[in-house]
Amino acid sequence: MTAAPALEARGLRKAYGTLLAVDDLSFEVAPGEIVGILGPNGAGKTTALQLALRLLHPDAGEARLFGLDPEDLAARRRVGYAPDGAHFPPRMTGQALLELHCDLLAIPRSRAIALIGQLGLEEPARRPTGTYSRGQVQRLGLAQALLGEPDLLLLDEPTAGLDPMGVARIRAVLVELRGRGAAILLNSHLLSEVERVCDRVLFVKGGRLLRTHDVRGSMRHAEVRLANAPAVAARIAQAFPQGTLEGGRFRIAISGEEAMPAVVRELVALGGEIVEAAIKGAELEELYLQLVEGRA
Amino acid sequence: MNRLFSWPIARQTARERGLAPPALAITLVLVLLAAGGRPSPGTWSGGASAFWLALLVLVLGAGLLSSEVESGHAQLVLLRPITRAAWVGGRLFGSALVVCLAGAIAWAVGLVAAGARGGFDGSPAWFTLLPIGLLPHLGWLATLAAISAVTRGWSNAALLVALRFGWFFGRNALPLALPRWNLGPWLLAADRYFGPQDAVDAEGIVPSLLFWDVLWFLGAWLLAVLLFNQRELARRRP
Repeated sequence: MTAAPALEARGLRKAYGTLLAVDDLSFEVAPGEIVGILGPNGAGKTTALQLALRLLHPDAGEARLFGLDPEDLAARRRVGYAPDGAHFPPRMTGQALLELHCDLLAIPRSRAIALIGQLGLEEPARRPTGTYSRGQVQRLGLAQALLGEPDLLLLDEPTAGLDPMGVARIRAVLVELRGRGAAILLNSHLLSEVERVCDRVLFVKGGRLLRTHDVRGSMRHAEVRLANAPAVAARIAQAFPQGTLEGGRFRIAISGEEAMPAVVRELVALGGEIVEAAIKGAELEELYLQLVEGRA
Repeated sequence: MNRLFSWPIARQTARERGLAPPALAITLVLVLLAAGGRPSPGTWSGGASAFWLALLVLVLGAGLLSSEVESGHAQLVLLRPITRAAWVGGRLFGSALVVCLAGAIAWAVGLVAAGARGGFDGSPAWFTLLPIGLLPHLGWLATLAAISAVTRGWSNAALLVALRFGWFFGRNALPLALPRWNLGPWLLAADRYFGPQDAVDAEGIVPSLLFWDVLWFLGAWLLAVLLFNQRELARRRP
């Protein structure tokens, strides 16, 4: 018998008057998996998250958390949610807020202190949340989502308003959570972040799922800039028939990082003068533009 | 975790609402009024103290549920292992706690001041009258919670004030405007069921009114839970 997915959505539909926000949306998030949702503004990404948690009532379809109804208290004990631009009682300090959530979860308040340290909130935690910057609100929102050490974490634009250090912290937290088997659903506009941490990506537009893309399973590309591309073009074309050489850049699909040194060695052996070499991702941006923006 | 109300929510609500400047200011006025007067069975059902206590209830109950939903904090809290009923109960209980505390403080100050002036006989009846005198106010607080389950922002308080004034004018003006219909006795009878009633009169406690007040409070609480169960929690983006 296989375990139930951490999150399973089937045929979710939600309309606001004549506006169809989510239409027949189905997806799953398995334990130990990070799934990203990508789409333009108004694509229904946030609504999808809210429907999955039953913060909104679906017009049709249903969501299950660990095989349970989203309002089941046993399911909620295992869920963390950080909304975009979370709002907290303005006169309450960050620490008092986290301690309130500790009490609601019936866990020791020391967990709040630990997360305050982990997310770099030591100074703001003593202040009322009404005085927080956008980035501090985001970090506090993440801290409250992580309090119960959730098995399912839903994050809505978690890196919005964060400085690079904050983004790196969140990335580290997500990778650590995945390592211990948590399922994560990440709604972010940052393609590079999604590409970096996600295992799968859901492309959404007009409330509909356009395509699911397997980031880990897809091919990556070696991209090498050559100073003398015209001089070595013929030799490279003969040695790498699958590769392309355009505008001084040679590109070829590789299975992973381990294949990169061999490509570089071969190019040098063919007489190529290498200026720059990099592994490019699964072309998420191209895929995004193609699927979501409709560009060829 | 209590199924009827969540104690952490009640504590947070009491702190949030009770320490808000308007609530503190009204409590201070109540204390000053009590210090200058003498507590009586009708302290909370008529006169200046009753007006200020009603105002405190209005301030505490304004947007009691809706403000948390609209701010987005309710959705985070209600993703915890806590039922909606326990959350509603916690919000109501926390606000009720502030009303009771403010009333008790003012009452105690009034007793001490009256004692110092030699105007208090020390009868235990004064102490039993306190919670009964506060009960109608708690009934109105529960009514505000029920309205807040379906309205936006602080409009529940405005709606309740409008309803009470509307009823007051209707009760007094309709018999005069339509004398042939003889509405006076009917409206007077109906008035006994329009909201919680003062269960303490000059002769003491009126059990039927006391029962009505308890019923009203519990009914409004139940209605608040039932209505809030239908409400969506997600905050709409502007």
